[in-house]
Amino acid sequence: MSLNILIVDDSSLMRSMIQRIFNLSELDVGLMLFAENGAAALSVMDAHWIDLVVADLNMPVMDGYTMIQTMQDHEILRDIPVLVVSTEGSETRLAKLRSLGVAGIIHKPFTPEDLMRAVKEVAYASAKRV
Amino acid sequence: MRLQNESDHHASALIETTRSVLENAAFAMVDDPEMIGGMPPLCENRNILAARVRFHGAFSGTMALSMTSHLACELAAGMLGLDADAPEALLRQGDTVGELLNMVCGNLLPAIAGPSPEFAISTPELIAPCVCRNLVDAHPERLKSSAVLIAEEEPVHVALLLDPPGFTAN
Repeated sequence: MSLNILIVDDSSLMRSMIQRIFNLSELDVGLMLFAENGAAALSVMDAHWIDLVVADLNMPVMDGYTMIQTMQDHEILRDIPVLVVSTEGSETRLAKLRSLGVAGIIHKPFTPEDLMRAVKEVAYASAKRV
Repeated sequence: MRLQNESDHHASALIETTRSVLENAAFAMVDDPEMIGGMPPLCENRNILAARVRFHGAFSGTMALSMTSHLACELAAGMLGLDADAPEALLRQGDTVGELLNMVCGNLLPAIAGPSPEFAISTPELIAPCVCRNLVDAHPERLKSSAVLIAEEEPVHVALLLDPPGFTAN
């Protein structure tokens, strides 16, 4: 079954990098959508079925923390797994992210293998829950 | 390696973090770095791209990163799997410098402050080379560390400036 993926990052370079990693992977990717900030991402999620969100934290307009919190407060969006891709190094903030139920945290800089390993772990965990 | 700056810990962390980001994010070959005082002549070159970020938290300050446009294109191409002369690499050179600086700053701050403190890092902004130089010239006492690394046989300059205690940016 195809995965609809939403990539959220204010850096167009990072969005393109992540897109390229998914395109080169063996994953069956359906829609690949993009957003520059958390608010735009929520609009995308309102309009499209999303199976996985890959999101940065430090973004203008609406940061990743606020986006994730908003998703957690939404009865449908809370079930969408979120992979955080960030330079965040504060243990306090990382603990907060885990308490918000993010599916995984990938530290920048990351390799394509890092991202794909995390995506597969999320996909496996999602399949176990079904 | 010559160390001209006061804090070996900051200097080492700056070098190793920048090297790690260039190697792991941009797939660049990085040679041994050199510590310097102040900003190098690099910033006089009109073909230089420079970026700046502000950070606030346990302490506040500014980081700057600069490199030649040619290197920025090469690194953009490497990160996107393109040929070095691809038009998209040229279009993405500014974003490349900004994003690499974002990664350096995000990784450097916990390296020097420890894992507990929280920091807010601004969105990277591209600045003119003369502005980059003025960051240090205007307030040389704030320069904590700076270094030149050689990536793909071209210089990359990175600098860390700390605000005085109690400083509030406009």
